[in-house]
Amino acid sequence: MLSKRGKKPAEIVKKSFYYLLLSIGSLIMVIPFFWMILSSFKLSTEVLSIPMIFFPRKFILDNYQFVFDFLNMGRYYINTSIYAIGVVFLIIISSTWGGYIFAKQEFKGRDLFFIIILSSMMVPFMVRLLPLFLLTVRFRWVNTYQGLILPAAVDAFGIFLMRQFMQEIPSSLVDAARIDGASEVRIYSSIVLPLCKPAMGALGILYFVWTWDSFYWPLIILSSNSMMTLPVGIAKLALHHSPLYGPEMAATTLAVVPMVIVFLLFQKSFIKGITLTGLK
Amino acid sequence: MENKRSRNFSKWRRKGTPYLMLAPIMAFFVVFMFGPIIYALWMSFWRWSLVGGGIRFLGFGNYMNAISQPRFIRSLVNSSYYVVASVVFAIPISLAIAMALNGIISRRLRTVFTVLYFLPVVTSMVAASIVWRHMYHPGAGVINFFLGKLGLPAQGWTADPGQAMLAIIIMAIWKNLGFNVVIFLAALQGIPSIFHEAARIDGASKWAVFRRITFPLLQPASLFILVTSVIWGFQIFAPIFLMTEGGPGDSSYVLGYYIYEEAFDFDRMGYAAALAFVMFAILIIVTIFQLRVMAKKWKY
Repeated sequence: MLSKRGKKPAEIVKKSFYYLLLSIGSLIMVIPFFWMILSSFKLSTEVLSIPMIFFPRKFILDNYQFVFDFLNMGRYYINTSIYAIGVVFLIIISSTWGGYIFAKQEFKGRDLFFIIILSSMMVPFMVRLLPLFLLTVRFRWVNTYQGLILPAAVDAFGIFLMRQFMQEIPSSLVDAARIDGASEVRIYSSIVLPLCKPAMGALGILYFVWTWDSFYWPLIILSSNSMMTLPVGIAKLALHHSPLYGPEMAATTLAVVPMVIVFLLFQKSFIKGITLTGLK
Repeated sequence: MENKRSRNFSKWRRKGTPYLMLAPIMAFFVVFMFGPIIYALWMSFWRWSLVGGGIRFLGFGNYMNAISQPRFIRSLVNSSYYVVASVVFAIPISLAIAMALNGIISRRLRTVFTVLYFLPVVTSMVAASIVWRHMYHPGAGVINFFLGKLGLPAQGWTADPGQAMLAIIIMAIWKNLGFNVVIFLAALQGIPSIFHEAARIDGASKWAVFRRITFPLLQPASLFILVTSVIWGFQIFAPIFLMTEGGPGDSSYVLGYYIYEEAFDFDRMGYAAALAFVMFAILIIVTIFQLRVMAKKWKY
């Protein structure tokens, strides 16, 4: 087979070297996941036993039982889902709207406005963290969903991504509709949006995972156990004064698995979303 | 008369529409982005506490105070160490992996490998930190276990002041590698193969092809990865919060963690705002420098 294609031995050596490198590398990438999942079925004493044991002597489900009974894990799932879906919904609307303005509208100062918005990507979250916190206190939004979601409703990165995509849409389509007297809202909703479905999918998946995993803001504005998201909840567990190793591993497994499934299902549009940004 | 007025009105309307459309977005940015930035700058000139003590004007007092704090210097050094290491190690490793992925023929295997490298990226930093904290355990951790299997001595990792930052950097490289790999891979696949073939026919060596063709064409992707690595790197927080809490001693304090602690543990909001502005200033300088230098090299 190989000789039929006329491969030189050097070529074969090179290719096998690639496979070897990639296999070792990806093994290193997945070991922490195996360790986490296996440890979640161990007794707490086994998780940190010396010498280390890789496989649990007996697979137990007590850790999972524990996190659902004592940690409000079900509630964390609901809160995290509300948070992630809320942000994704608002981000898709605001990013496509902003993208449409910057890709398909002509007006004085457009590039200046765009650069101002883009420059906000350089601002570390910690810079606006404290005023944002004071603002949520003032609005009485501490420990609420709106306090969690609204500050993340519009984002420069999303607007940038959608603008990149919409520039590919022929302007003649938009102009034709304008001549026919369609309103801008109408053009946006019935011409531009349907053409953007693949990009919206990529955008939505990206923000869904980022929001699901996000930690800093939820940590600061959520105070009651019944409002906590998964990362905040499991962080509280991990910082508990007496360590609960087994439950920690069960809780992290439960937090990680849904995102892994989402990623595996939407792997293509996920990766497309990321590559859309860096290369143009 | 009437006609002219309505023409004026429709002209005004046509010109005004884009601004009207933009208004809600700009309003959001003013309330949640630019307003808070300016307010934070204002806060940084005050002694500002929420619970007790109230506020008092200090001028540049918070900034002067920061410079005299060993913990601040430590945080600055560690944050820079983290950023430099994650650029110097992570970019070559991810480029090598992307090139290997680009070199293999089986498309299905390429997808499988890409997915495996990408898994840590979709994992939350909190979960990753908790898992790695156990993996780094000096006695019972899986990492020292494998080092032992390879005949290497056990390391202290997060328990050792000299290694705590290194341990966090290794974890973060593992966590973020897939992101860079995906971007490099897409860039590599965007290079028309005719470039390489032409160079091959002209008798260029492999290294020359990489240096003169592949690498220059990867500049946009490299620049993107560089800029994002620096911006995200300076903000690192969760692994410190969960794995070391800045310790042992002050050995793994970084700016992000220091700011959090000053603001929410010690209620020194003004001081924390000043620290955040120092971080911001550094980021602006570094990013503009990167864009200038790289963008110039770009025009080969």
